[in-house]
Amino acid sequence: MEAYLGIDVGSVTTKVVLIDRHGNVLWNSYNKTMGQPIKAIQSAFSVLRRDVGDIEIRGVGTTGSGRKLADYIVGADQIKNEITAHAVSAIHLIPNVRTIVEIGGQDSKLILIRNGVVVDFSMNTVCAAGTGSFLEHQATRLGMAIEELGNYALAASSPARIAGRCTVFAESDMIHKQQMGHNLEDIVAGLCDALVRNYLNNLSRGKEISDPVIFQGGVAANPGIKASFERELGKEFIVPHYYPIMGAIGAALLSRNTKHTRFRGWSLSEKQLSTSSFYCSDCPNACGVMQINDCDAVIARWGDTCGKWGRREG
Amino acid sequence: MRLTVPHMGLLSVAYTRVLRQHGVDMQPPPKATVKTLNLGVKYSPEFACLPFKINLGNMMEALDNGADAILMPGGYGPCRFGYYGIIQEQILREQGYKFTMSTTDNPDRLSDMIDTIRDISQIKNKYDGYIVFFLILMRMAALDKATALYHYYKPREINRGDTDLTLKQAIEMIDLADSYTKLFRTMPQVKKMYHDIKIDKSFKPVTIGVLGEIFVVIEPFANLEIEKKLGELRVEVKRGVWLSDWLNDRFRYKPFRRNQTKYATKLARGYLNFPSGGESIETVGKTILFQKKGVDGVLHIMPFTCMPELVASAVINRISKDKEYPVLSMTFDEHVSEANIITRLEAFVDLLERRRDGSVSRH
Repeated sequence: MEAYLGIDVGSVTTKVVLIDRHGNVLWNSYNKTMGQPIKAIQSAFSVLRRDVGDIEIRGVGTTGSGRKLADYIVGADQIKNEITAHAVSAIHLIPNVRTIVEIGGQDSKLILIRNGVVVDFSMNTVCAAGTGSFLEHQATRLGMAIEELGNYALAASSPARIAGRCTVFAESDMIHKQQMGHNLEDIVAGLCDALVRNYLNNLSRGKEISDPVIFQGGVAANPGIKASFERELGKEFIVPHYYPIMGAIGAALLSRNTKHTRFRGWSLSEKQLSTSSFYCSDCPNACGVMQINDCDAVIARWGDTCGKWGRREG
Repeated sequence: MRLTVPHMGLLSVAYTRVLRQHGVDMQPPPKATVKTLNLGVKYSPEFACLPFKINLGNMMEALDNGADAILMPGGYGPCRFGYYGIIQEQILREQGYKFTMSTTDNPDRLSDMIDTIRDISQIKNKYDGYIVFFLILMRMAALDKATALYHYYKPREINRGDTDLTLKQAIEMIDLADSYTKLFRTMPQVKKMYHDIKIDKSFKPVTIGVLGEIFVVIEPFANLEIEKKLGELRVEVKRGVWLSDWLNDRFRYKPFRRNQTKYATKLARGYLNFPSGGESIETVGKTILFQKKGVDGVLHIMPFTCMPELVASAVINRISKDKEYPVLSMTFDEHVSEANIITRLEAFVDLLERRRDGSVSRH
C-alpha cells in the first residue's frame, strides 16, 4: 500500500498523519512538542512504525514553525507554511469553504477563500493574547484541565467582561473579577469572549467573514470559544472531525504529486539525533549557527546569513 | 576633517569615491551589522523608528573608526525623520563623542545640496559642483539599474547564487567608474555579465511590487534582505522606490525618469489627494500603477511606528478591497523575527501563484 506522510511541528504540539492517495486519514498522532521537536517527531515515528508496519511512503510534507527542522531530519518533498497547509486541507474537506479560522498554540490565522483559492489571509503579528497558550495558562491558574474550560464557559449565565487586549492585563482583570465575586463559569465565559474579541480586532480588520466558516486548530476543541464566535458573528462555525491535525493533513495532501520522495526511511526513529549551536565570530553579525548531529557526525547546519556554514548533509 | 554619512543601501557607493577625488576625506561607516543595530537600539528612544536606530549605530561606528564630522540629511523632513539629526547629535554628545555635525537643511532644493558639496570639498566653482553632483546621480542610477537586473535574473537563475555574485561584482565595477567616460563603458559590461548568467527562459515568475518607506525598502539590512528572500522564493521583484528617484525628482532636467512623486500623486487621486509625508503618496499611487500593469501583488514594508506609511497602509487596504488586489503590509523593527516574515512571505507567494493558476484555468 502507498501512503503519504504529513508532519506539522507546532510550537506546542507535533502532529503526524498518514493518508492514502484520496486523502483519507489512515493514522494520526498528536503529541506535545515539549520544546524538543526532534524527540517529538522520533517518538511519533516509532509509534507509527509499530502500529502500521513497513509501508511504502510515496511523499512527505512538513509544515508548522518547525517545518525546516522536520525536513532536515525526515527528508521532505514539500515544505509549506502553515497558512497554505491549513487552506489545502480545509478546501479538501469542504470544497466551498469561504473562511478559515485557525487558532493554535502561538499563532492565530484568518484565511479567506473564494472559488477554492486563497484570496487573503492575516496572522497575528505583535501579540499572542488570542491563542491557545494563553487559554492553557489560565486554565492551569484556575486549577482546571484545559479540556474542561469549554464546558465551564457554556454553563455561564452572564459572562463577565474581561479586558482581552493583553494577556497580562487580562489576567489581572480576571483576578479582579474573581475578587469581586463573579463565579468561575462567568469568568471563563468572559475569557472566551475576550479571546474572540481579540482575534476579531487583530485579524479580521474589516475582512469579510462569510459562510461557510471552518474552525480548526487546537483551540477549536473548546466549545466555549466556538459559542462565543457564533454569538459574536451570528454564523455557524464548522469544527471538522480532524480539527487539530488539519495542518499536517494539508502538508500530506500537498506531497501527493511527488514523483521520487526524499524520505530518509524508518531508521530515523532509532538514530541518536541531537542539536547544538554556536555563535560564529567571524564578523559582527555573530549569527547563531544551528547544527543537527547524528552521534558525532554533523548532518546539517543553518542559521548563518552569509552562507559560510550553510547546509551540509551527510 | 574626516566626514561620514550614514548608509542608505548603496548610497555611499555612489558618492564616496567621487568626493574623495575632490579632496573630501570620506570615512563611510562600516556595513550595518547586528552590532550596528545593537548600538543604535541601546542609545535610541524605544519608539524611534528603525532608520533612526540604524543611522545612529552607523554614526557611532564611524566615529569610533576615526571620523570627526557627520553629514546628516534632515532639517525639516518629510516625516519626523527630519528632526532626527538634531536628536542624534545630542545623543552622541552625551556619549562624549567629539565631532561636528551638519544637517543638510533643505534637501528639497538642488542648489542647497550643491552648496553643501562645495562647503565640504575643494570644488569652488558652482558649475563644477553641478558636474560632480550629476556624476553622483548617474552612479546612483547605474547602481539602481544593476539592482533592477538582479531582480529580473534572480528568480530565473539555474545555479543558485550566481546572480548574487554578479550583483556584487557589478557594484564593485560601478564603484570603480569614477568618471563619465568610465561609467559609460562599464554599464554595457555589467549588462553582459548578467546576460551570461544561465537562466530558465521558459519560467514565468510571480511578480511582486515592493513599496514603502524608502530606507526600509532600499537598505537590505533593515528589511532582512527581503528582496533576496523573494528571489529565492522564485519571485520577480518590481521595486517602486529607488535611490536615484529621490534626487532625480529634485532636478528640473530629468535625465533618467519622470518625476515619480508627481506621477504617483496623479495616480493616487481619489484615494489620497495630497502627500501625507514620507513615501505615502508613492505607496498609494504605485499600488494602483502595479495593479494596472498586471503585477501580481504588492508587498508594503515600513518601519514600526511610521506614521506616513500607516496612513498609506490604510489607504491601500481600501484599494485592495475595491480592486480585489492582493496587498501585504509588514512592519520592521529590531524585534522582528525572521520566522514570522518568512511564513508570511511564503503564504503570500503561494496565494499569488494559486490565484494566477486559478484564473488561467477559468478562462
